[in-house]
Amino acid sequence: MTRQLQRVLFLFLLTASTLAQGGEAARIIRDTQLKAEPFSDAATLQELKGNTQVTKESRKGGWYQIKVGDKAGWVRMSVLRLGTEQAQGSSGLGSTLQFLQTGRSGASDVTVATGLRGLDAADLTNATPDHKALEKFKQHKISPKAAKKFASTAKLKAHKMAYVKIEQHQPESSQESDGGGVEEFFGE
Amino acid sequence: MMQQRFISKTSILGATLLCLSLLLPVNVSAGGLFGGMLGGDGNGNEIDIGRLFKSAKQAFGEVDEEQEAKVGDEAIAVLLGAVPLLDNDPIQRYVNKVGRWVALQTERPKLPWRFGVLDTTDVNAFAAPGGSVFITRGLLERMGSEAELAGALAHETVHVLKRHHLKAVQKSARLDLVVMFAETRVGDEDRENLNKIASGFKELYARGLDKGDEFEADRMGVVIATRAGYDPYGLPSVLQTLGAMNPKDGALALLFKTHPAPGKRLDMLSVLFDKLDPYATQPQLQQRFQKQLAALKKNP
Repeated sequence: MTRQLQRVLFLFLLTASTLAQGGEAARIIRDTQLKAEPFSDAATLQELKGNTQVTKESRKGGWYQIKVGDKAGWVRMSVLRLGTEQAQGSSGLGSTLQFLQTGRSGASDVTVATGLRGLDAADLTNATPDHKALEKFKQHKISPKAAKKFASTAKLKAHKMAYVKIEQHQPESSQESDGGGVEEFFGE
Repeated sequence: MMQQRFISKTSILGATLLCLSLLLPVNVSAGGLFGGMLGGDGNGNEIDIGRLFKSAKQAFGEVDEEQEAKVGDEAIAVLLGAVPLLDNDPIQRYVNKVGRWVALQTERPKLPWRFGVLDTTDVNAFAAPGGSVFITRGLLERMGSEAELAGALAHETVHVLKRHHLKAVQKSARLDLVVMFAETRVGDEDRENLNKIASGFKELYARGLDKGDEFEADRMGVVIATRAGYDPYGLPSVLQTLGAMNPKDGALALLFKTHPAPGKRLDMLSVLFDKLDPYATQPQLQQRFQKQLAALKKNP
């Protein structure tokens, strides 16, 4: 296959997946720039304010392609949250409070089919340990060799990468919308 | 303390301690070792060097892998007592292949890693000491790619790597596993003690780990999934999906009770994004995942 053909096919697939996914309601959580391409040094199309409602079209690495008004462009994954404000929390307390709210539901709201079982805290505290099921579970075994073969059929290549050390002084109560996010430590 | 029973000859003890001091990390205080070991009962028990090594390790509150596996068995029995495994071999095999590949990229590749899909619509994932990881069917069905699955499984492997549950259950249930196991001879089944461990896990799974452990599992998890060759943004994408769900959805109740909010987790993870970018073109494997998921939905 020629390089050009590959390129055309790639663009086609990208467009097709974008169309298939359709837009998804999303929100910009802090001031940022709408970029022409998914790169930090790409041209800036527009300044975006925190709390702007947008439509997410697709994702490429750590960038989301979005539509805002009549413009389309790219923003960093870290400045966007899927869904509407009501569906999101910035802290553990926030998530507790959300249960008391009666706002609109999130864009990806999935209706849970009835009649199927859930799992709550009481199920765990009242559980009778099932050692028979444990023995059955112990039969779940995949050899490293089989796992490597499984990876290579999908062209997954393992490589070394160090864990990322972070600054010890994380802001404990960073708000999603106040621009005081942890990125500032790294000057994104 | 059990280790005291096995010490009767100080000369051998001294030699062993010298060997140990070469093996142990430098920040371990030798005073602590002596403090724990001197003053044996001198009842003439035969010295078992292997046991002595084990005991010295235990003096620092660390159980060995065999004991970790025993604790893990109790934890797994509790989980499976609350929610059964999904009766679907193809999907169980698929998740095990992804998980085993991911686990090979960790610092504990030789553990007997096992993965299981739990038959519940609830959205959650769990880990148990010794190398066991579980994901609910509810979470699996909300994912869009193998990279997302790998990211979530990688997060859980970190709880095993860093022994988060072992540490938490000892702390919360006031269980001294070291003493507990020392009192049990190898090969013995001390049901009473094992039941105490099971009780500890019932509470722990219902309450969840410390938030710091969850943030650490996120940070290390994305790196592990990236090492395995996947798109690094799998786990962040899962968190985006969870954050967009209606928090009043009952399927999220336990997850939200036991974990920091998805938005906060994304915020904490975003400091890593610049480091992940060089790997952003690694595959997401949407098709391979969707094929498995379609089969699951067709043949539940």
